[in-house]
Amino acid sequence: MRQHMKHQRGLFLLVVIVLLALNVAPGLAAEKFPSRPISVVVPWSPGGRTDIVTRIVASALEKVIGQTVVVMNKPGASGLIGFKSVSTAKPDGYTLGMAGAGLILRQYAGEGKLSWKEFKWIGQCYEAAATVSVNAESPWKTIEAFVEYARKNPMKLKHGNTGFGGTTHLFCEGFSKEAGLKFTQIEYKGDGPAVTALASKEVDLSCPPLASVRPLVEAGKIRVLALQAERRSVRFPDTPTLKEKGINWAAGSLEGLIAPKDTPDSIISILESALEKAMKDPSVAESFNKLDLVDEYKNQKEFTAYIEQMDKRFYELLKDVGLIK
Amino acid sequence: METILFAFSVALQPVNLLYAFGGVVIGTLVGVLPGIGPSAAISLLLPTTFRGDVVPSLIMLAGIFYGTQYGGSTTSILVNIPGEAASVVTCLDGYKMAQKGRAGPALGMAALGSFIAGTFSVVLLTLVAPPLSEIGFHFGSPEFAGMAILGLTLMISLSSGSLVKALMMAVVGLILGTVGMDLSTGSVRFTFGIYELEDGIGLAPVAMGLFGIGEVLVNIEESLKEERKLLVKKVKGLLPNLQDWKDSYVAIIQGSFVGFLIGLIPGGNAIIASIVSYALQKRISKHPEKLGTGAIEGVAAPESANNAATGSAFIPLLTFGIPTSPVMALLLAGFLVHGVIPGPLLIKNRPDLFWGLIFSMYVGNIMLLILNLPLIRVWVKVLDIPYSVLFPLILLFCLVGAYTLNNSLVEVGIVVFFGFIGFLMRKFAYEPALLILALVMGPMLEESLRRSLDLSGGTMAIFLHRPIALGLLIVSVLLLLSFMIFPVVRKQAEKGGDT
Repeated sequence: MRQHMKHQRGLFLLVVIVLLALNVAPGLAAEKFPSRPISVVVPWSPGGRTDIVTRIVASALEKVIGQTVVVMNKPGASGLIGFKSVSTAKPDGYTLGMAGAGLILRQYAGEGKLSWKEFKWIGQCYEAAATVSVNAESPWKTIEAFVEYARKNPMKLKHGNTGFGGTTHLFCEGFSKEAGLKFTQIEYKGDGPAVTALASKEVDLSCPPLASVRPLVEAGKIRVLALQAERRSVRFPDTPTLKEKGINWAAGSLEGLIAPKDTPDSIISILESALEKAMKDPSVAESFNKLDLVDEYKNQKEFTAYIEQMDKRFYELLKDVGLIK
Repeated sequence: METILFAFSVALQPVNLLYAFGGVVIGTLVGVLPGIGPSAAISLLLPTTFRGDVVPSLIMLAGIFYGTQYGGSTTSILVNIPGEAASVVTCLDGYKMAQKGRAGPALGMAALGSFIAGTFSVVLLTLVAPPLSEIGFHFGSPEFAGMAILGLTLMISLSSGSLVKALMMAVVGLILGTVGMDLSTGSVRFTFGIYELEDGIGLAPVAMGLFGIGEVLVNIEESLKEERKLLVKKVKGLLPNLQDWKDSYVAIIQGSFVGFLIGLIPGGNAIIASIVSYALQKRISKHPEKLGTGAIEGVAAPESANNAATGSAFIPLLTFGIPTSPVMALLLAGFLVHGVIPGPLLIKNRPDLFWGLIFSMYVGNIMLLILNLPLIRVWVKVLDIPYSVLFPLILLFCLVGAYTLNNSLVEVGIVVFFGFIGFLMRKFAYEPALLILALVMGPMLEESLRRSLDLSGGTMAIFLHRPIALGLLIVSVLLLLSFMIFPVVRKQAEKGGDT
């Protein structure tokens, strides 16, 4: 009797195991990524450049990947709150983020530890080359004339940046180091105030992305002397790049999709090829073009290599300006 | 003339009317609810407009913005909790009026003053937008420093009690304003390892705590002592009477001008406009001692000013693509996502958008008036709601509102912390409005003063070379002197009156 019960129990267990296996196996097979909505964390407030870009990319990505892509804004502490929420998320490919130069800089400023190596850099979505912009009433009509004047008058010209150790501060430092110039840095809270200060002649130059100066260029208040880019802009074909003029410096804001570093490679490659397809959607290029952004796609390998190189370049510059001791 | 007809034809298209109406209704609600302000509401709704057409989208977003200025005064007047930051000053006299049973006229004057000033501002926006847009370029860092100093000086006239206590509150506000990352060195100050504080202590959670939670706690304590309803006399009248208009018309006119001018300046905003207008009213009033005790002109002045400021804030945005405040930055994003870059070419390239948006504001202001006047009847009923129902609701709105600011619990913590501070401040008769306003001015002063000195190579002489900055500083000094002399004179006059 007892034996019989034991036998029965064994049989019961076996049935349970078989049933569970039957139940789980198709589940595993059906677990084809992605099977539910994907969220992309934007570590800045709605309405900023990153937010707009992410929404454009997300709607193109949805069509390719067949799942809803939800954009979530998690602003705070110069992006740290949002970056941390991605790096600590379950690495299953359902929580991604949008990041770039801002994350690289955040590693060295403020509190809280953060490294670009805590993420997988799936693919780059856009680039926005920095400019060298001056007031339209200034005497400098060309970048050569400007560089010549600045070289003879070190520290005399004032550069309006977006905060100490912020992006435009480093764009300016990189440019001035390559060209052998020295500027006095004046800090503003973001692109808007810095550009306004340039238009009202409070500062002599500023290095924001093209998109931030365009309304004032059209208003005849600001002149763009050069682009800190590899290639000329389609919209301003007459503006030379620094490299053309023998100054070996190109920089700008760029961002792409990131995932927690432990996300499996199989999932990353699905996301990578989906992003590549999404970036070929003509609506993306069209929307980016209106925003003066270049729809420059880089795959995981190229993007990661670029981020690594950017980290090195920015680290050197931050040491030069004294932010890293 | 053709332009006007064209503009109205755009603004009066049914779809645009519908979006304008939607915008002002949402704006009124957002203004009424403490906690959620125009920036939070617009950033929540901004993504929904990304796929829509640009003209109705912007008409709606703009409607939310100026709609909040109408709604914001409601809770200031009824329960002493500003519905959004620009209505802090309205608490001073609005709530006292409600306690005297004059909530109706206060709400009515807030709505009518807002309508008059809002419309005035849009008329000027229509007529003189392009020439006035240059004003922003004359305001550099030294001028901002001057503005901040003038603002801090004017705050003294907001205090009705002890001057020492007022100054203490201002200093606490300034100290709180130093929390966060230092713009010029990148170093982090007073954050105690809380990453969220790197961006500084937000205005909205502090205001909700000091006013909202503080008010609730005080009332809970009082209701523990005795069972009773809100401390309000029977409501007398729903609309301002002739005497109210006589008392207020100067306030509305000066509020309209002051608000319009301050709205034009980058960084100058509806909050500063309401302080300046209130302080000016106290200077020019025949009965300055009445302000702060429930005078209707103390409601009319700041409410007119903050509405006028919302209209003129569109000028730098539409003509140069320069956002003068966080809300304007969100509206700029509303343009950008549709590939429209606001700037000098906007009138030429997209006249439908430029004029349609401006003329929708005329329509929107009329809608707001029609919407708000009948609502007064409803709002005064709020005062009949017993404590046990009303206050849990206020707590709920404050805490949820704080959470929605950044989807973070840190803001909720700030609200609760400042709630207890607000309770203590009320018990010991300190004025929370001053702390809030100093918190706004502090970072502005620090940033612009340090930047001015960076620009000048460290010499204060920069303030002597800039006429506007110098003018602002001289006015501040004169005001300070008059504050020192006037109380003496007034005391003697009172003595004379007594005998």
